[in-house]
Amino acid sequence: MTLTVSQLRLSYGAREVVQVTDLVLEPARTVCLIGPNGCGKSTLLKALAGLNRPTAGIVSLDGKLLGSWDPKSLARRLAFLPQSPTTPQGISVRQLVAHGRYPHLGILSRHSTHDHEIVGWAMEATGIAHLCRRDVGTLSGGERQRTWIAMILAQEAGIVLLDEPTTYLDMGHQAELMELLADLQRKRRLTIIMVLHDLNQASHYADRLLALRDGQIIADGPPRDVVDSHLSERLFGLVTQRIDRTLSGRIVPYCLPLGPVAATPAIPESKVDKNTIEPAKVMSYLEVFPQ
Amino acid sequence: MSRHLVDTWADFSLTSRAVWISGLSLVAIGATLIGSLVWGDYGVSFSHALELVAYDDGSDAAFVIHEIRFPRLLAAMLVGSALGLSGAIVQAITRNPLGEPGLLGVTAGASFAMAFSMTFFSLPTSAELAFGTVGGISAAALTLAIGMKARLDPLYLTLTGMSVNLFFGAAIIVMLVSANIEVNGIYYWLTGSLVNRTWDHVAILWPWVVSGLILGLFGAGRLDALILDEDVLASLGIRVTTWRLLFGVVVVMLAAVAVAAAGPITFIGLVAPHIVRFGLGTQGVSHRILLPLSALVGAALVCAADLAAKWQEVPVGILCVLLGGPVLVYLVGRREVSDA
Repeated sequence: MTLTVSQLRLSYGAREVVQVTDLVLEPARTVCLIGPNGCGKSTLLKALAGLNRPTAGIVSLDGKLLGSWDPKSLARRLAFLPQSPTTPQGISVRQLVAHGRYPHLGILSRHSTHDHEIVGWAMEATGIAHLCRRDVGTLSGGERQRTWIAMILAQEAGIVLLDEPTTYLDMGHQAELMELLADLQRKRRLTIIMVLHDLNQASHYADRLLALRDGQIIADGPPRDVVDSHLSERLFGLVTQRIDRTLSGRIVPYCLPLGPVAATPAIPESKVDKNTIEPAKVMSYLEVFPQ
Repeated sequence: MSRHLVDTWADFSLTSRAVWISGLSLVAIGATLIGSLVWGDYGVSFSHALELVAYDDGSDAAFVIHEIRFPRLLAAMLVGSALGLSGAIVQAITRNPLGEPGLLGVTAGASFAMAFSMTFFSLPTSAELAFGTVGGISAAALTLAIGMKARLDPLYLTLTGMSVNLFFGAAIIVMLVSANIEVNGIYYWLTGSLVNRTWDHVAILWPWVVSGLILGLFGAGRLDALILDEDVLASLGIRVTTWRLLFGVVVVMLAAVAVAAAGPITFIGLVAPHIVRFGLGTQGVSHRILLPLSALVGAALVCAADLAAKWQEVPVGILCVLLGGPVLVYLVGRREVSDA
């Protein structure tokens, strides 16, 4: 299953927010969309989910326009989780996760034994099985987010679109959630396309990084090829120092923030050297991302 | 294994609570059945009343039972079911726990049409009923048409319905003030009453209630899902606007016919689902259970209110509020406590 974008233009009213000429998202990869606030990354993600009608251009799945798919059969292939959805009042974790089965149900929306099994599996996989009777409203932020992920999993879609799944989570829970997603991606061979706020998180987990600024893709490729101070300056106005780390044979670049472009004197090219960074500082930073 | 046992136990306790609620409602309905057949200006003993239900001997007592008391009771039951049912559905589609069937403009629309027909023509019962129903449906159609602009967004829909209700409420007053006629009968209807309800009313009510219940049960899964955000619903492949519109139409039909038959007593539709949720001890009860139980509790409430109304000759609408108001306050209070 491949999502394809061509000559896409998205707008809010008269204001055009996204222009993407050409984009092919291959299956079984983790793609991270990154960019400053208001750059159009959430809008683009919603369009990939078929929830934003483009003003021009097309978004298609397996060569068929998203708009011409039957909503249920599209939902069996493609799942979307908005940024911090409203927590419904008074329903249990299991009930919420069970809603993920909707696209698989018949006209009477009756759950079969198979549906119950999938719901159970989704809760096991996200580590919330012990909470299944709990009211969703009483969960902590981390548990709540895992419940939403379980709902998406129960949908059994090959493509999963997530809008800032780590928002409002503390560092520990962020790492936990990202590891869970990475694990699911490997085991289920999912295509995960997500908007992330944190450039380092994105380069740690992404196979492919899409950087957006003013609605345009300004960088596209594996993190090791696109992440550097030049990128962080263009995206966030932030001068950074790139530090490479090798994770199971893969080079993962991290950006150590040094300061805003305006306040930080440009580092002379000759001085840029990995060895000038104090090892202790780097180590404390890397602890956030355990191997 | 142990988790399985926990689930089974929870399901069992939910089922037994549901059985309790329906049992209590049925007992209440049974008690009002007996009470309303026996009670009234024309004295009939209990055993005689039972005989007359089974066999019409052509006596005055039989006429009272068959043509006055029995249809009135059935009309009360059907009105109550229609309101309980539509209340539960409207709370789901507007995502508003304080939603009531009149929310979409039905109450004021139907009231306006009834007041209009009472003021300017004198129509036979069934024509008047049809006129009131059409009035309610038209007002709600206006609400839904305006609401479609925002793709039936719950908040927008609620505000639109409120405006339509206010508009027709004002129109009723303007009409009654400017028309120089005897308005007591209209006021009596406007407070809600089941006096002199006949088989005509029953005949119009029951097909709506039955089809409303069937449609509601058919779509129960979607109603359950409607508490989620629009984006989440859309990504689950649920045609949100379509289902909201479809259920909106069901609510409007049920509420319009109930209001035309018994006056603006839609408050029952607000209270009945909450009594069920409270009785089941959970807010997130599936509509497969919530809908039939709300219909049953609604029926029991209206029957009880009507019996009490008969006793004191007070309009049933006022009793519904007197009965339901404290119940709601209690339920809301309990909920606040349990949330804290």
